[in-house]
Amino acid sequence: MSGYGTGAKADVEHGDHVLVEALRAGDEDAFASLIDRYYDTMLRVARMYVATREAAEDVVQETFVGVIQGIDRFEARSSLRTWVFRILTNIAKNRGEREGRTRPFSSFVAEVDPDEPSVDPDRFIASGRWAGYWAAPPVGHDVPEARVLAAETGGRLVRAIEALPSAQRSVITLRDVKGMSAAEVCELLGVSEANQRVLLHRARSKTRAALERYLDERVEVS
Amino acid sequence: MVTDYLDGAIASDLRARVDAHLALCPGCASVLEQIRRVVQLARRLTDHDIGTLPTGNRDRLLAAFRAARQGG
Repeated sequence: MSGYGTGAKADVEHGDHVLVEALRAGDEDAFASLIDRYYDTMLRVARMYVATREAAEDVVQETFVGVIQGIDRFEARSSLRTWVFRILTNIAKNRGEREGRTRPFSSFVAEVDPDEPSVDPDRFIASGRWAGYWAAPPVGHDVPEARVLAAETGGRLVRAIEALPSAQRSVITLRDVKGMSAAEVCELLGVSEANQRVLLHRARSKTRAALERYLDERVEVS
Repeated sequence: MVTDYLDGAIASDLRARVDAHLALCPGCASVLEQIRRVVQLARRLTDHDIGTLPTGNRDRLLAAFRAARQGG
C-alpha cells in the first residue's frame, strides 16, 4: 500500500496535502480512504491503552471525530499520520486513566522476561565439552518453499501474531506486516528505539518458534 | 542481537564476528533464516488477513463525517 513506504518522503507529503485538502472540502471518499488506511493500526495502538476491544473501538471512533473537527487546524508541521496518531494516543491515554489502567510504555517492555530465552534452551547442549553448542539445531532448509508459502502457513503466522501480548503484537504488525521503519514505529507508539527493539525481538522469536513447530510437524507427517 | 543485526543496527566489527559465526554454525544460521522468513511471510499478509474493521463502524464513521460537514 502506498503511503507506508519509508523512502519517498516528498511523495508522502504531497499525498498528505492532497488528502488534507480533500478532507477539508468534505470529500467522503478521502475520509473513507483515511479510515481504510489507518483504522486497523489505530485499533491495535488503542488496544494497548484500554482494557477491551470495545473501548478501543470507541477510542478510534472518537479519534476520527477529532480528525473531522480538527482538520481545518492541521498545519502540516508533522505528517498527517503522525498528527492522527497523536490524537489517538491522547484519547487512549485519557480513557486508560479513567479506567484506572494507565500503562506507561515501559510496563509493556517490563512484561518481557529478560531471562526468557529466544530459543528453547533444551535445544542446546547443557554441559561438558560441547556446552552451548546446538543439540537440536533447526532444520529450516529442508522445508519445501511451496509449503512455507502455503495459505495455511500464513494462517498459522496470523494466529501466532494474534497470540502475542498486545505491545509485541503492535510492534511486529507495524514493522513486519505493515513494513514501517523502526523510526516510524517509535514515533507512532511514542516508544524508545531500545524498547521497540526488545518488543520486536521478542515478538519475532515467539513467532519464529511457533512457525518452526508447525513446519516441523508437517515434515514429520509427510 | 538478531534484531539489531537484521536492522543493520550493530557495529561493523560485531557484525563481522556474527557473520563469521554464522558461516560456521548452521544452527544459528537457520534461526536467522527462519526469522527472515517470518518477516518475509508477514510482509505477504494483507489487510484482509489481519483486518479488524467491522463494516458497521465504517458506516458509522462515514455518517459522522457527513453530519459534521453538513453542520459545519
